[in-house]
Amino acid sequence: MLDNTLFYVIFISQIILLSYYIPARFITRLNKVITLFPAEEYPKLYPKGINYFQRQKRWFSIMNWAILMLGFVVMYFIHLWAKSDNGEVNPMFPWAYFMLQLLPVLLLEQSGFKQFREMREEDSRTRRHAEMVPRKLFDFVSPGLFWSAIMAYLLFVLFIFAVHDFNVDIDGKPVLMSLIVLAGNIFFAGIIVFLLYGKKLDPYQDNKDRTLKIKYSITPLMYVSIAVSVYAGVQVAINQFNLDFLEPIMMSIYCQLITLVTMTIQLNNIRIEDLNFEVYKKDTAGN
Amino acid sequence: MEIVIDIDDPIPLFAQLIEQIKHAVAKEHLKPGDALPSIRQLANDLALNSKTVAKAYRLLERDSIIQTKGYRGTFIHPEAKKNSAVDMAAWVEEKITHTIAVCRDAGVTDSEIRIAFANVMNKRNV
Repeated sequence: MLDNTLFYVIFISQIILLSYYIPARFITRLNKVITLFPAEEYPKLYPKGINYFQRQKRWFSIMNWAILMLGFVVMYFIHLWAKSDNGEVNPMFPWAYFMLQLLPVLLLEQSGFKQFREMREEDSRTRRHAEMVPRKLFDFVSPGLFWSAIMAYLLFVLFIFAVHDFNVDIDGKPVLMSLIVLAGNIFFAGIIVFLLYGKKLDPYQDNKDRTLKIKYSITPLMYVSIAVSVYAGVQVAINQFNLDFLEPIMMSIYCQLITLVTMTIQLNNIRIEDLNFEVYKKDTAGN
Repeated sequence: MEIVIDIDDPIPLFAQLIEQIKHAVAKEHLKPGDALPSIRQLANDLALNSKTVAKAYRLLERDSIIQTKGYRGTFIHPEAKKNSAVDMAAWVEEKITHTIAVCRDAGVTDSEIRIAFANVMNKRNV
């Protein structure tokens, strides 16, 4: 019962953090952009029009409120099911709810991609600029953090193999888990390569702003990579030492941690005041 | 150092790239040993086909303005400044003018020269 109480406290934190606190910060940021950089003066910032921007913001807000309410309903049902299921909470509950909580952010992100595409299509400038300087990973992330992510993965692999008596069966759990975590890291590496060398999504974006964006997109990925390895290691320990009651608690903490790291690093470091919005002005020829 | 290309300019895009890199080398905005962006990075930043940038880099490498050091990347050649002063277009024009003059002196007609030139150019292994 005490375990469930602890889980409920942590799950409430997940509900509030991901469906209230983070979205509220997003909304504040969007409102700030609309107020400081109105569509009349900065039309290039709103390629689909200010109404589309406002509509997306409204939907984002509504969806988060709905998911917030649903969270408490889900918690009530978890409480009921836990009672009828030997008091155990299914560890996949926090994960499934987390996926739902991510949905508004993903839709907002998708809407951002659509607006960038519109910007590129509307961009009639014939002159294109580029810095003749290569972008290297270590210009954006400290070698210490990078090697920490690598070390975290290697330590996880070492740990899981040690726990399973260095069983190297190709279909054994250590090999499978190592490959799953490796696949996650390869996915992160793909995102990093795209950020460094990929297409410039916002055609008007200042080079300095782009550098800032790349830096504060890669840094959280490094932390998430470490978190994935650590969490996978914790999972192995939980299963090994029969601490199953901790599974949903750790799952919820993990979901909150990775979201907090990725979202707050970006929101705190890429400040509206530091970005160059002059490039979106009507009279900016850009040629 | 920033590079600017104009997609409406009649000069081909790869030639604009070559010209600007040579100019930057001549003005010492790019110095021997300076690293250059990868083909992919530059192509994406300028919203160009990577083959266009690759062609520019290939010709710059042929002229010893830049050098590729395997996976480490592409760098400005140690002799780049001296080599950027060499005008390959003027050199090739001079050679062809001389060859045509020799052909005409031998009595070859212009249309025969054109056909012969086209034939030679169309032979892939020349």
